[in-house]
Amino acid sequence: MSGEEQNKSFYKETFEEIPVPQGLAEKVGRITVGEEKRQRTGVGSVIRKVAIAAAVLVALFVGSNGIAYAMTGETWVEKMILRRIINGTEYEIEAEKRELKNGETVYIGEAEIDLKDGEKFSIGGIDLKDGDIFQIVEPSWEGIYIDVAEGSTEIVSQNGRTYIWDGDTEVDITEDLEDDGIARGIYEADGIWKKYGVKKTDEYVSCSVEEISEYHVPYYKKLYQLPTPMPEQ
Amino acid sequence: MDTKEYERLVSLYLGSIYRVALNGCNCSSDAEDVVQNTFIKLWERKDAFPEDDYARKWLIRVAVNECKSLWRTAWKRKTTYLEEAEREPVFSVPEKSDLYYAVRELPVKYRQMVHLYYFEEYSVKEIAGLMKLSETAVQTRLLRARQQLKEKLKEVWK
Repeated sequence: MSGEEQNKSFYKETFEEIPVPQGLAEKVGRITVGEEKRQRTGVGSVIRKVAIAAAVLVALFVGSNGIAYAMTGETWVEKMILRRIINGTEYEIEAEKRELKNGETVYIGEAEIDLKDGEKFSIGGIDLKDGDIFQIVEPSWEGIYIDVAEGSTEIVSQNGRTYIWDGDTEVDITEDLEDDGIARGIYEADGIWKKYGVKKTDEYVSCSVEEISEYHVPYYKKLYQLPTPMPEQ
Repeated sequence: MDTKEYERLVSLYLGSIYRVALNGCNCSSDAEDVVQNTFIKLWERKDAFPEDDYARKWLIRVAVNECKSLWRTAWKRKTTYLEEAEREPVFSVPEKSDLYYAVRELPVKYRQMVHLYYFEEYSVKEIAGLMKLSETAVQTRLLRARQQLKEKLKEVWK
């Protein structure tokens, strides 16, 4: 048995010894008849359907440059506007943040896609058809809702300071924004270098983030006049 | 989904999903919430799964997303749990306890993929798809996690 196989075996044996908490099986079993089910029918399920449609859109369009975020005081990002050209037409999808009764946070947005009758339009394994109706064909999409944070960026205003959050990486851009409302720079998150540009006005914050190669890091440091750390003695 | 099929999948995968959630949340009470939300989504699902392994992967993916959703809240990022010490599991040998705590001390971004790799036996490619990361990023994180575990556990971790 190789070292990695031994590790796997040891890991499995260890975590198999972790018991499921008493009462959890009962709680999960009650879902079929419990309050949780009733709360998620009716309006909730309609919202969820739209949310899933929006999720697909966001998942598809999150790579677009230029994502605009509306700021509301010191809360999280409340709104996103996503743009994408499909069949030569630019579509704008506005997704708003909603808190559902069960505490789940979703972003809900709608956009009309003009397609010819009977024509299927496929993007990334998803079929969009019948004019303005989004039909999710791939069942594996179910259960995935808005995922704007992973692989993209959040702008967070908290305790009077403004940050870029990218996974576990936090970049404080408060001072940069105070000068002229614009912050530019680069950061590393999980071994990947990215450059960012943030513009803040009284009404909104716009942000663009792009991956850059390590080769271009010195160039952007010079361009944005960022300090280069001195080598350790 | 009918009740019988739901209950069958709960009996098959409750433990597995709880462990995924526990690794993602690092807190048993949050893990319980994640498990419940995950199984609510299962109950609401209309389409049947073609096979059990598909159901397992679907449940894990939902649980991972639920954990990520939890970590996105500022409250969760800034909160530590003092009551957790009372609810820690007891292991048969001290080495297992050491591994458990070494894993729990890993950063969240390493912890969950370590569990998916070593416990659920997902491939790097599958983890990359699940976590929406590049395969290189997954390999890098797994490598760093292995190094950290090796430093903490010495001979126990190869």
